[in-house]
Amino acid sequence: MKIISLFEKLFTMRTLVVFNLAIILLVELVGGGVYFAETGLVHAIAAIFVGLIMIRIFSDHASNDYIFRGFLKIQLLFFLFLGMVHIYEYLGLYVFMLNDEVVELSAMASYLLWMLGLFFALEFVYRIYQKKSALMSIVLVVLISVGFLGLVLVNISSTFVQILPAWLPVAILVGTVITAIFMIMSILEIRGTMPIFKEYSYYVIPAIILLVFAAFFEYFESTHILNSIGISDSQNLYLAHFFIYAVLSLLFVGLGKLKKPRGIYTDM
Amino acid sequence: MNENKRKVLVIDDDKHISKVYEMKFAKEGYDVVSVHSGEDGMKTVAEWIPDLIILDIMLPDKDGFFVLEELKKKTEFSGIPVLAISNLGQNKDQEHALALGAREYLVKVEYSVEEIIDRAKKYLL
Repeated sequence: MKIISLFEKLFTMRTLVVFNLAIILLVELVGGGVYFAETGLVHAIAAIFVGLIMIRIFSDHASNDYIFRGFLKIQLLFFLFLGMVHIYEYLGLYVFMLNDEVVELSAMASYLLWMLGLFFALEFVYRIYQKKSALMSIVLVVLISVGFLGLVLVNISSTFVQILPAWLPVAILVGTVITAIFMIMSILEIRGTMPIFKEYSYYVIPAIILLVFAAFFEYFESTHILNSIGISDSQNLYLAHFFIYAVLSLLFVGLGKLKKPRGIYTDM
Repeated sequence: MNENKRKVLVIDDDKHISKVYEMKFAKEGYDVVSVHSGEDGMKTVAEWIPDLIILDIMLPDKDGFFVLEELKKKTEFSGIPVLAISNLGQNKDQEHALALGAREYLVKVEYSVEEIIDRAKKYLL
């Protein structure tokens, strides 16, 4: 318990900004600015951020509400998935030497699946509180299932990789932008209905916007499009990950606001 | 349970919150019982007949609005003051609860437990 409380005190918005800046400096300066890309440590840092978020979700929350618990469990599941994606990226590119394009495409698709998962968590709450139809939740479950199946097939079957359409990365990018728009609309509705989500939304909305930037850089990485303007692949990889670190930092703080909301929960 | 003490029934599925209510109401000298579903809430009302009900609106089975409707239907219980507490912050939810007979509608993130108890005391004089 003492460790958890120390952890809560240590990782505030201010310290996370400092951590992010320190990471950027470190990544850009160590080993001529390519060390973290060449060794894959850039992915390990993302996995650490995911780990921090999972500890935050796991630790005690002021609210023991059954809907709130469900929301956190769904989030936990998808953060676990995101952590595994970064481990997969590291192992795929640096240990098992898998096809770069397959790994990058899988990473892009995984970010989208993760966003859909977080969207599903929000819909779970909103549907119950507002007695809304389950249609959006069903659509999300279908999309997540199909996406996950596609992800598995891409990684186990070279035949499947060959039949993938060339427009797929663009489609994933467009899907990410559309999901982000829906998520922001959903959060705005939720915070209007449930004030407990108000402070959380202040961090989650910017996180979603930054996630879209990260997705664009992931796309640029897979197409090497930025090489033409003098941005190397490793810099591109860094930019995508700097956005991801910022996203995860914001989500970490946002989830902290849900952990200890105001009002009745201050006594918990 | 002491016969002379005023009785408070807490209906909230959140066991942490219920525990805090129990402790704080008991400290103020009230007899307090908490249950965690609308169904159990209605049973306890019939058996125990509280002087005040603290009612969470979002409950796993029968929600707080249902409990308010049931209380309103039964004349023997319709006079029991109910403080509706919820995470729902829209005016329509507040109006709905008040129309069904709740004396007050309080949003969980806007009031501390002490403030809720202070408001409850008005109905327990």
